[in-house]
Amino acid sequence: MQNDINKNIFQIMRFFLFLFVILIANLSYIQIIESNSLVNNAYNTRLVLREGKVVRGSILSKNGTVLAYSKKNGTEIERIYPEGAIFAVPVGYVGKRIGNAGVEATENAYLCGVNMFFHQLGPLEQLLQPKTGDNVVLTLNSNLQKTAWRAMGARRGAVVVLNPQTGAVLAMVSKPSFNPNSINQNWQSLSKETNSPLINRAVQGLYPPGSTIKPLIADAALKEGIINQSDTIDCKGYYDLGNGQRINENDGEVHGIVNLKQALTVSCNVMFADLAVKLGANNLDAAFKRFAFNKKIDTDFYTPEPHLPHFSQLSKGEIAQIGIGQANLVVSPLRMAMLAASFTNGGKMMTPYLIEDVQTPNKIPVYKTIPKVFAEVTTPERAAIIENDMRNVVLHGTGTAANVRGVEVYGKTGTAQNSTGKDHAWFIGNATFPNGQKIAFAVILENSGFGGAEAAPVAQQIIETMLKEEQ
Amino acid sequence: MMEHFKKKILLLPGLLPILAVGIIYLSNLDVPQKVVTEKDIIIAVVASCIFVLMPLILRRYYPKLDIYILSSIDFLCSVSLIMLLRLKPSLYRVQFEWICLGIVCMCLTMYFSKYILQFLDYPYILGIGTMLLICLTLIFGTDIGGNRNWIVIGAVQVQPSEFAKILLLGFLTAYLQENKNILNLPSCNWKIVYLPPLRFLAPLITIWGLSLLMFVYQRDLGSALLFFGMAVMMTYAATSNRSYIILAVLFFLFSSVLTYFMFHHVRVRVDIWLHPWQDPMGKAYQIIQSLFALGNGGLFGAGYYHGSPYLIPAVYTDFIFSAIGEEFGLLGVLAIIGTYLLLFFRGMKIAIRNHHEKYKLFAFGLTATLLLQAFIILAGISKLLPLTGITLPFVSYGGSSMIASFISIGLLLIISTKEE
Repeated sequence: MQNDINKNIFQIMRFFLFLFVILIANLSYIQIIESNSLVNNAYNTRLVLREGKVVRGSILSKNGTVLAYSKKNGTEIERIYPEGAIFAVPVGYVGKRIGNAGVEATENAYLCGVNMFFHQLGPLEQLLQPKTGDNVVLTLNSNLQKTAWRAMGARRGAVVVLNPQTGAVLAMVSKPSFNPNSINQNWQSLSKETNSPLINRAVQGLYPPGSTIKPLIADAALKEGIINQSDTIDCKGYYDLGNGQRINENDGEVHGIVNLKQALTVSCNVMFADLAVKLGANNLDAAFKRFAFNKKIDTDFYTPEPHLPHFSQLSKGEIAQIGIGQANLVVSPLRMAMLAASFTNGGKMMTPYLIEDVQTPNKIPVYKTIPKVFAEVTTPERAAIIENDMRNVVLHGTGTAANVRGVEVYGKTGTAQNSTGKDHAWFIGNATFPNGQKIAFAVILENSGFGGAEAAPVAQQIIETMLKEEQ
Repeated sequence: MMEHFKKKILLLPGLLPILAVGIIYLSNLDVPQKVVTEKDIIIAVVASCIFVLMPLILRRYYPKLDIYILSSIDFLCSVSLIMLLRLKPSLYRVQFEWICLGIVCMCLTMYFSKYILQFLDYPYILGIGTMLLICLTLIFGTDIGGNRNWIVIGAVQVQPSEFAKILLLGFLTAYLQENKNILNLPSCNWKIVYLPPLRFLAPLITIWGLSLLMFVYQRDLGSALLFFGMAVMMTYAATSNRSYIILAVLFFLFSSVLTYFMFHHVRVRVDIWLHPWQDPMGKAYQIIQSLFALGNGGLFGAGYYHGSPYLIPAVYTDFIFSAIGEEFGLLGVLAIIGTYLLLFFRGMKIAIRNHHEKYKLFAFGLTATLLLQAFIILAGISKLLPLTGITLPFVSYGGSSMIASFISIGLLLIISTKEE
């Protein structure tokens, strides 16, 4: 019996050893592998607390406007956002109990002067601790941002402006917005407001794209050889689905005999419903995947998980609706700006990014974003054809309100039906300036009506601002 | 000579309090209001002296005392003092008093061991004592920090469950040793499970039931898990009968599922454990802050006095280990865990060597309980298990826990002197 108990004790000791191996493995995982992500977590206030010892760095726009800085006010350090709500969505805020958001969250470590390499050295870091955090320079152009903000007026919606060649975000506006200077006091009421001012509509907003999806459908139809540039159809004002249901043109228009270019120019629903049906579920699925709508955007700002409808489960009527950007297809303004950008960049879609570079207070660069190709979405030839057609939309079609003399403007309007009331007004496109510089943009104004009349003028003002800067 | 030197070097961790108070004093030289007072410095010096002298003096009276156990306790108590000094100096002063009282209780236990160990012959006195202590808290328990396992007498707050632990161990030892042959007599015999008649099982089932009651009524998952685990371990060690483990696992699963569906607070706790990121600033605040602290520590730690462990609620008691993880990193964490394991193996050595069956079981129980308690709270703060409020022996702030832990060690040490 004596030895029996000893045998049992040894068994229990082995069991304890097993438990402690798991415990130590788990602790090592937390402290070594997860360490960096825990330190940089938006809810971790430890880095912010260093403000007692370290003055948080500033956030600047590409052209030098100060978007956020810290000021000592007695014993307390205040975070000030001179531009208020205009830049609130991309810049974000420092939250006391609510977590940080925007660049204030993603670049928290740099702003706090924490070098992740030094941080891993443990106590040695204390010797290398700077007095001020690093400054973060964004890709935003403050003039474009302010123009877009003003042009949208009191309407809800979003504007995204990109550099199509690099993916740099030149403007990112979401309305309604909030004042980051008083976010900590107003959090309760803001988070309860029904029109969601805290949502970044430019990235997280999901809207039916309406007719702005037609360039993608045109590209897919050209690729699959369903249509060529000279083929025509006869638009009688409606597309007959064959079961007594019809897809109508807006305002009862009848376009007559049109080719692909003319159909894009007048935004002919019959043509694109027909193309979508001819493409079928599989080709549509392939086309949306080719344009990377199913690929998560991995970049320096938060992006939601991508979402595409299950095309194979759609009825013929719904497939036809996809062709004109309706049914259960929803997209974010950022995705639509990227779509437009890819046509002017020879079919290369760039990964959007918000951080130009990070500099120490002595202007020594510690980080610089290198542009990356997000996806090769189409061939340069087809991109040129579609872009040419989009030029016609602005010169002779639904998008004339976006035209600016001296600039080559390309665009596509959209007027998206939705369940929340009046149609959403869309305008997406590109502009090439005399010096060869390019921008791509997407504008959406919620429940504002006709895209060509409401959204296109916002794009026009953005292009004009950019043109003035060029001169 | 080498041997002599080796044993002295083991006492070095006892000097940690002097080092710590020096660091804090020097790093706050330019701060106008004093962070450490003269009293704190005196306490640190006195504490270090006690930690160095206690093993030396004890070994004068009991030459065979295990120096590893004594210096492990020195180390854990030093860490406790320096963490509290850094977290909240006022608690540091009180904790010092508790440690002194604990050492006195340990010495008294050893001095009166002849009488105390006699109780091992009276299982039912111990059993009734355990029941009384637990029922006392069930009836008169006061809610402090979410756990209704405190008894408040005037200005003194006592956690009887800490002392009930020792009584329960005594009872289990005495009862199991006397009845182990009966407990192995099968009366109902199924294919894998064979159990004795119900009246011999009743004491064990009562303990399991009580721990379940503690969990549901007092919301004290930590102690409940500990008591349950103790009963299972002791029964298995004494009887070598695997049926008890099977029975315990079934009972555990059944009662977990039952309480999960019956009680809202159990569901909340499990939800926090499974999905802490759904409410990181609300319900899961504590565990998330603990993870942030551990993550911030990394491999080397932020450095003593350079972390922000005060962001964690209850950091002085249940979460003191997260503070250690933040400031001393994974290396510090491994040092603490290593110390507990050292204590465990030295304790097990005492149990295995002893030929007196009751002493053997008792020594085993005391050591295994200590390690099980450390495991439960360490697993809780690192999200391996649902969070449980229970103290880390010798390190967490608190008088009941400190004194009970010292009494356990006193009993263990005295058993080691009765090896033959």
